Amino acid sequence: MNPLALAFMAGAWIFVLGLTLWSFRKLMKPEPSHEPLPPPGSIP
Amino acid sequence: MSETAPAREAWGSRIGLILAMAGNAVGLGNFLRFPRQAVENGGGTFMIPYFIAFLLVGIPLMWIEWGVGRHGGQRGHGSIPGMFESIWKHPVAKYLGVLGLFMPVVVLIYYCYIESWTLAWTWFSLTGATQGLDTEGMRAFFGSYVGLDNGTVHGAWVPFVFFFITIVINFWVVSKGLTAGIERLAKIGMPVLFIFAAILVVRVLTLGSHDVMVDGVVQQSSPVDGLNFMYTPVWSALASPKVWLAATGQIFFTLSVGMGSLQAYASYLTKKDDLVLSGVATAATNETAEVVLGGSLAIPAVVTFFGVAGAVAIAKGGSFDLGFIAMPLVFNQLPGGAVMATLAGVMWFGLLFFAGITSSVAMATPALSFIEENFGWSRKRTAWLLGTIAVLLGMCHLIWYTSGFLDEWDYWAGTFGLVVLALVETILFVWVMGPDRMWDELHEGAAMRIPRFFKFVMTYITPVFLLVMMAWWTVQDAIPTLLMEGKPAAEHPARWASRAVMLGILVLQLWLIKTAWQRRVRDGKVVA
Repeated sequence: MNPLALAFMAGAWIFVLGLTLWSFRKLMKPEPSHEPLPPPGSIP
Repeated sequence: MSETAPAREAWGSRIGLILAMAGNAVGLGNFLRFPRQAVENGGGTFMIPYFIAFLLVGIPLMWIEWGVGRHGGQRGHGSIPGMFESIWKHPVAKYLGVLGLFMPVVVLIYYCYIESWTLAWTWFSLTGATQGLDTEGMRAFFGSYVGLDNGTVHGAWVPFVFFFITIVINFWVVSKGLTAGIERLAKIGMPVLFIFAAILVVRVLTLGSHDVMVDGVVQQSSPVDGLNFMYTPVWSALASPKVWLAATGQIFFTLSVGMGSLQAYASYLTKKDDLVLSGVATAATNETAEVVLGGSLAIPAVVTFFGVAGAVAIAKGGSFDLGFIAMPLVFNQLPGGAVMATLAGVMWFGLLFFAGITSSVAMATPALSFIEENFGWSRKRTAWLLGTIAVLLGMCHLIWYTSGFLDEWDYWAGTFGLVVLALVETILFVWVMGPDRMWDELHEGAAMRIPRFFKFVMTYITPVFLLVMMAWWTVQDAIPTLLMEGKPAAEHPARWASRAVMLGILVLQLWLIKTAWQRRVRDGKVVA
């Protein structure tokens, strides 16, 4: 394949696939869960 | 004015929302229009203005439309007239919003007709109707279908049947509601679309070399030649304003912005829902479907079997020739004979059908919400009313397709109108609401912060880009199209009739808006 054509195609693919994977990875990350603190005085 | 916001439906899941939004964006254009645009506008260099337009216009408009939609939805509006009025408290605002009813309804009707072709060709692939045809035979097959008066291959009733089935499927889905209809369709249709497209891409890219006759000489041609043809940069193209506008136009069409459907979907979001990251994920999914899948299918496949010159000749009639004439010809030549031709045909037209229907159900949503919310009709009743109107008006496209009836709707509503609505909503959301409020509105419930640079882009660059585009299109295309320059005199009556029907739809919708607001005041929903 013509190296310039390959460079343009690879650049375009990397950009869109990267953006898609990045956004879905971030979306699928579960929200940070906040565990309730133990009642005061229960920790020795 | 004060308003009361009734409780509205909500999306069942975040992934369902994103698939539905992406389904709205991924359409026939991703697979048919994009490769042609790239080839005609500088090949690899087209990707430079294309991605710049994506960042400066596409993504900002995506956020603006999600923001406009959620802002309106929170105030009980599922369509643009109410959304605009909730931003700009002026009597004119709701009438400006007619654009967000007019465009999706008009585009929906002719889009369903094109979509019905994909359903018909899926059937023809299954029955082997297109197998064994040469280029001229395939042209006659297509011509006979779209030109009802030329029933050399198909009876005139065949396109009507497929159109009717397509409309019934569409309005059956929307009548089921947001989660049971639209979201479920997206959860099934989008994975099927991606799987079919991925299988076809692998098959196309592993085709190897084939003998192609060029000027009486046999030459070897392969998918790599197709990719070279598509991506080899033409540097001089970067200096052409036409290329930059073509790239911006493609971003517009592909992301389905300026239509009113994204806003209608976003109106079902709550304040707790993220729209920043979801907007990016939607746009990125669409781009993957377009650049990675759409760009690796039609052009490489056609170049492999017909060479670059052959591909250009076959596709000279436009994107439809590429999809409905060239691709079935390719499938007929695949190793594996009739079985492979059937499989490939079903997958190609099946993926186009899913790409189409996930977009068309989105186009039905604004009008559906408008009638449902303002006139108290049930969703089912509204869906079937709109379906009946779509069938009746769609008949005009079937009967006068070859006389340019559809072209008029496609230009005024499906091309020029999109830029007008996008410009109006950008001015309202960014300038009338104010950049700071707009910024806060977008970040309600957001899973990430938008880089601050985009505030400047959305405030200044996006509106300027849209203004330039509208001015350019007005001079270059709108005026010649209005005057029907270069159109055969025989087409003029059908084209004028087409415009008259569009005008009728516009006037009817303006009247409906007026009536709806009178009812709102009467029912105490809006206190003047």
